[in-house]
Amino acid sequence: MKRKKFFAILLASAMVVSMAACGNDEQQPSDSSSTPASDSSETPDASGAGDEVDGAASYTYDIAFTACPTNWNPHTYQTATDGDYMLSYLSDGFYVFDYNEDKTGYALVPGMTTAKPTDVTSQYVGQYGIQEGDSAKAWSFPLRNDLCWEDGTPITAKDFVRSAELLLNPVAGNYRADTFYSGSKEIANAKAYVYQGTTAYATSVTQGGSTYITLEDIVKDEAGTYTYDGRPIAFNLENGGDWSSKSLQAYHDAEDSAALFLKDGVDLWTEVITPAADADGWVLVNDETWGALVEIIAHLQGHENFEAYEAANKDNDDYANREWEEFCFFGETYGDMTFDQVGIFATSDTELVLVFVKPLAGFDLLYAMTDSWLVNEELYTKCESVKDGVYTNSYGTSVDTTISYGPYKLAAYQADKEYTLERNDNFYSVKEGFYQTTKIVIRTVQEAATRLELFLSGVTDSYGLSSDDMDTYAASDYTYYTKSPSTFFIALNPDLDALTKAQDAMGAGYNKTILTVKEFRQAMAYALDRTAFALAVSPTNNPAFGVYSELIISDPENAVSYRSNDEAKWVLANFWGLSDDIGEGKMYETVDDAVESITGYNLEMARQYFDIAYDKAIEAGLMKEGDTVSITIGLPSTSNTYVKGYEYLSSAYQDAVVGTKLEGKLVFDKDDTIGNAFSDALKSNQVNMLFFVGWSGSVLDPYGLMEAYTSPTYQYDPSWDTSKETITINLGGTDYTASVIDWTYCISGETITITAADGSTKEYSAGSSDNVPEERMQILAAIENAVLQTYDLIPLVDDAGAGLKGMQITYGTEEYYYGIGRGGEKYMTYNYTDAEWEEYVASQGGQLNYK
Amino acid sequence: MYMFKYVLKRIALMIGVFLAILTMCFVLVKLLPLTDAQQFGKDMNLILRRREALGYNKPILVQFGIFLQKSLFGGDWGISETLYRGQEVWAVFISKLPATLLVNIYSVIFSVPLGLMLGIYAALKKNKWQDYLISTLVMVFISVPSYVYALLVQYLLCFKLRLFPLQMNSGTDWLSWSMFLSVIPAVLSLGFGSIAGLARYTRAELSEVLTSDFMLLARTKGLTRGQATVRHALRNSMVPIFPMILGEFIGILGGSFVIEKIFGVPGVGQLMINSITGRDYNVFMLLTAFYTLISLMTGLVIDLSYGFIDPRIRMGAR
Repeated sequence: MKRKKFFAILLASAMVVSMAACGNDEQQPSDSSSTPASDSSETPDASGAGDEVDGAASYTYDIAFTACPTNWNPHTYQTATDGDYMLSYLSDGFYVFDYNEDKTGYALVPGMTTAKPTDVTSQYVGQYGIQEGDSAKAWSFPLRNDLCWEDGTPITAKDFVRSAELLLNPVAGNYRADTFYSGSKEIANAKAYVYQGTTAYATSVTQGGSTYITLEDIVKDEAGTYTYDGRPIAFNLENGGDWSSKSLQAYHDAEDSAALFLKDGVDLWTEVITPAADADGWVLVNDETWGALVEIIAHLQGHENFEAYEAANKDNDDYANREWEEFCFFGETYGDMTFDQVGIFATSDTELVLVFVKPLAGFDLLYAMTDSWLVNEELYTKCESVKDGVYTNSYGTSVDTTISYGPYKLAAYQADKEYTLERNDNFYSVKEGFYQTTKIVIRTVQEAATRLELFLSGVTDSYGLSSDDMDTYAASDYTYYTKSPSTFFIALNPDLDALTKAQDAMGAGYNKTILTVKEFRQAMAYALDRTAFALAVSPTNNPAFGVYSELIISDPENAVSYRSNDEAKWVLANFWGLSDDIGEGKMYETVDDAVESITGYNLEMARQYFDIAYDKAIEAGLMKEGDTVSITIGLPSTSNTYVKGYEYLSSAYQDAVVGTKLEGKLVFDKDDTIGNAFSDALKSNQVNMLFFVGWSGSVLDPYGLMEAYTSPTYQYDPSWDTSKETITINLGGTDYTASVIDWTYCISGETITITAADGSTKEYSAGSSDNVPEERMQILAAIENAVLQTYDLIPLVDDAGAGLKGMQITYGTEEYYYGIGRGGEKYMTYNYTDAEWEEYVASQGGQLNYK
Repeated sequence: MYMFKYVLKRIALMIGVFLAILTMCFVLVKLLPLTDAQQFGKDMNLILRRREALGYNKPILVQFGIFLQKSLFGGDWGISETLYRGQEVWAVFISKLPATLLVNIYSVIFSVPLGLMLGIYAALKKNKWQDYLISTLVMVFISVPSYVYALLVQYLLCFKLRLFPLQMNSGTDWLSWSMFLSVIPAVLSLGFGSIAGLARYTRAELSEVLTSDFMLLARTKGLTRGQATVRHALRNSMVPIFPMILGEFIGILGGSFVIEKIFGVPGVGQLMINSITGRDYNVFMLLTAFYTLISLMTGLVIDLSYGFIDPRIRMGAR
């Protein structure tokens, strides 16, 4: 009986609670409707704290992004979200981008410093590898004397030195430790300090397949390991080195691979190679492992054994005996050392000296110092822990583990939800009167529709437009268009072996190997109406015609765009088949006229090339009449952009072959399972084509970025051997030849050997400190031309974005400039205080019209 | 005694299933390829060294042994390596759980009584217009996925009518009035489906019981229709319905990927899938262990609950 009563009471209570919940729905509208932005005022620990600074009104910049920073430790952060949306507010650079004097472009001006650095190289001759006569290697940076943490604790040069020691801590192996030894900012002994007590295999033996050592120069150490210049030589199971993007492990894991690893009935993989590998997969080269490696290479090259391969290559400069080196790396053994041997030290509280391995000067030096590695030592060391040999540091992961020396300080943080930054009134630039914004609220809102609703409700102050919004807001007065330096491409992998394998797997009647015919890829380049593609798929983007967009700067000192150089213009004219039509009395008077006319779309020419390609494929036996060409397009995700892009491309190409010999014989299918491994999927020909791919960054260093397109480590098409393909360039009246990869290294400062037509050679370098800017530019254009002429990387669109600006704020400039953008929070001003804005939004009925 | 033996047997089986699931998940997630360490301009050795220190290069079964020893039996779930780098995964999980719990508890409080009430009412009014109306609405709410309600609720109630904030409040003042208001849209969106499911099930069960012989007997004994329904029909129909309500409570801990995304709920709903795509092994294994354990325990509790609801059911008895 009691149970019955209990159950009845339970049921009744539940109903009452339910009714009460329903009742609440109807009681509360007035509060929330009158204060649409009230949710932000509920931020813990932040409400009211930063509303009034120095008695002035509050100005809150409220924005929403799809991602939230999770680690903003300057030594370990990994994503752009961590850096751009958090760390940039909490830190500062030695030199910072600002407007130039008339606000028509950028300038690099002192940030944490008071002036440009002073060359003090001569003071350190005999130390840090500096020799008599060297210059631009040691620089003294004059720091401001009012640098301080958000709590007012002063920052001195010694803090930067100590922070550098923490960054390079060999136990930590920090993700960003290479800031001090990769790229141009290579600090003396920094790498040796990080690697001390270890052997690292970081330098490839053949340096991109361009430099080989002779077997006679190899010395065996006591253990029989091959060494060169005292350095052990090893190859890695997971890294194909300069030989291929495919590793030995990948070859082994592939189907039907057993024969590749067999020698006289011995399985070289299980009997020789893997037993010799260490935990990281490194195999020291000795007689036994060398024998196994050359045998495997011979099999990969289609020969029965190494002896057969060697015999076949006698006339090819004995390449069979050198090819194994492409798999190998030199080992560097680093002894123990102390931090005072590293080229970073303080000579006073406001003088910081950095010693570089290579000369670095001018704009490049200032640009290399636009960030900082500074951490608060006391807090940082409190956040350290080492458990089971694994170092961890929680610095920069919460409010408690964060301390700022930048324009804003972290006031509240809730992961994946929202964080609040308050103006740091101890920051020197705030004291100088910049930064009107008193508080920044950054929300994580993943749905674009919700972000738009927040913006239209006056809660947020900006909104990034998606392609679906463009019909409504494309012409709005509040829409700001921003070009981005990234260029996206269609990438193809015309590797005959891989295509043949994929084609065979499809069965009879299908063809993929026509992709190896250059004219087919050329036709694909011409057949695409890039403007229509952009409109259909990504309306803010612009058609792309070259490897680099007009935003890539080749002369950063003077802000000269690479594309504005004549050499770069001729590259475009060549690629789009206009170079013969330029000149007096021809179709185009000047190269500028020709470039101006490029649309990237020539259906007639595309159809001609499709026919030529078809004939060539038939003639070469690559294809049979009646075969259907089947191309698999890889989609890194199933986002709208990729799906629309796939549909557009497949339909456009099928239309383009109408009236050609390929009419009705071209089909596409998609593979949307490849995820972030899209590059590997193309390299292994799991897919035959990618789109919307490319490399971003390095806006001011197109020379270094070119390596991404020519180095076997990074290039999308592994079948293009840039160590064998040569370019001839006229330098100072003489034609010199070198491989594509050598020219690439040379414009990044490496010294290479170039060969004149008469066979004479000379050592040559065209890096930033070699003072041959015209020649450097000329080489860059020649390499871009070589990349484009492969037609395996077809320019598609240049990236650009569009966004709505809220009525509460005004940007520093209407125009967007690299480095400074539209002025950021530093120059942003407000048309309403927060209180006025709330009133204004309410007066508009809580919804604003931005159309 | 039968019950005691039965519970012991179930617990032993539960541990076996728990370990089997953990083993499978551990091996499968470790078989997924890691993101390539090779990045433009990066010293890949730093990444490879870290992976080596973390034991990623050890055989998978050795790694699993370390996981069992350190995490499962040692209680140290480790540090997040990709999603929340440098942070204890247990702390991350615990910090995110309250938001999910809050939304789901409100949702259950809202949906269970309402679902039961509608189901009971429809059964009592069987084949009348009230029943047809409720049944039609139930079909609509069951057929339409919850993210559709979510978008509609957000657009109409939050954006157009401005009755609620567009997003759940930030902060940890979980029991404040403003926090309650801000979660109502998410609660409504989550609740509609549950209400419909419960109403349909209750109606079906109760309709069947109401036509049973013992109900006729109860009425002939002199009970009113209300007394017979509450004392006999409801109790009998609860045998299959109660486990369903318990099932609703399991969902409380799981969160809803879509609803949390739309309403900005900083909960655990997205953690599992993010941990897989981000190869954050420690986060993934903690979530796997937690949810597996909760699901298995809930299954056990549901089974045992039958005996309490209906004394005729005796677990383990021959």
